[in-house]
Amino acid sequence: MTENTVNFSRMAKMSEPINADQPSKPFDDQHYLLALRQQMLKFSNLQIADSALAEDAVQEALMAALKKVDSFSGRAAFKTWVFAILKNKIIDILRQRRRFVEADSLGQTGAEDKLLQDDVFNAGGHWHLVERPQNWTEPQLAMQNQHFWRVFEVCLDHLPPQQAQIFMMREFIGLDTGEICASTGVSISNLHVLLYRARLRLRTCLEKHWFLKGEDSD
Amino acid sequence: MSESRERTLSRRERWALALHKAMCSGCRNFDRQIEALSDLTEGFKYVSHGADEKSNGNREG
Repeated sequence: MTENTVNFSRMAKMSEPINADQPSKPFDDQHYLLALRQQMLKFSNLQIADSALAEDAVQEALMAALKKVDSFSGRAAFKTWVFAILKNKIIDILRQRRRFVEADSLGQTGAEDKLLQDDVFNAGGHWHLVERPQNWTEPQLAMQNQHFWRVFEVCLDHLPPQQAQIFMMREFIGLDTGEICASTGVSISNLHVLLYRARLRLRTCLEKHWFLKGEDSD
Repeated sequence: MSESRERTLSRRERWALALHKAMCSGCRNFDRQIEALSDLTEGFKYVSHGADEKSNGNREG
């Protein structure tokens, strides 16, 4: 829906003349808007498996933000605010869809996770030797590495959609478990299972593709 | 271990977990790793939201 994006910036340009000396107004710059929209889409898609709905949420959030554009002096404040709106839109959508989410709660990826479980643990429930979690040396350092974030993103993308959604609601948006249960309709015990599976998958992926690989390798 | 991040465990559960961790180095690492995951995801927030700030406003060199 690039048309809508173009319209946004066109509307913005009509309401505020372009001023090259002051690039800080959020809607002056089409590139800024496009980049922001891309980030929002990425975020929204992680939360909502249905890409059309994910895009709706982004569009609505941007629309709402546009109405108040004059009250923001800088991009940082505007961005924080537009993401806050987006977060609420996403929660609304998830709330409406709770029945669908509940339906594939543990079923769809259950078999796949059984396989992961078998890969990682032996029959006695112990870690397979090669899969046993290693000591990650200074995970904080990884944060300063661009390559690490690429790996991190790929690992997130490889989570089953519902696990990604719930993990991100918990750790990225920072909702507590009660709120997540309320907005997704997932029971508290299923939520604990899903979070555990997501964490197990993520740590396995990160260990394999980053922490054991040597941080200097590209 | 994952669940202990979401709710307060009972005394009995805490003891069982501590005992298990004492015997299982992989589990101790796992516990530290999911803690790290939490921090990393927090960090990811700033990377993914702040990515364009760097390229747009290079005022604070």
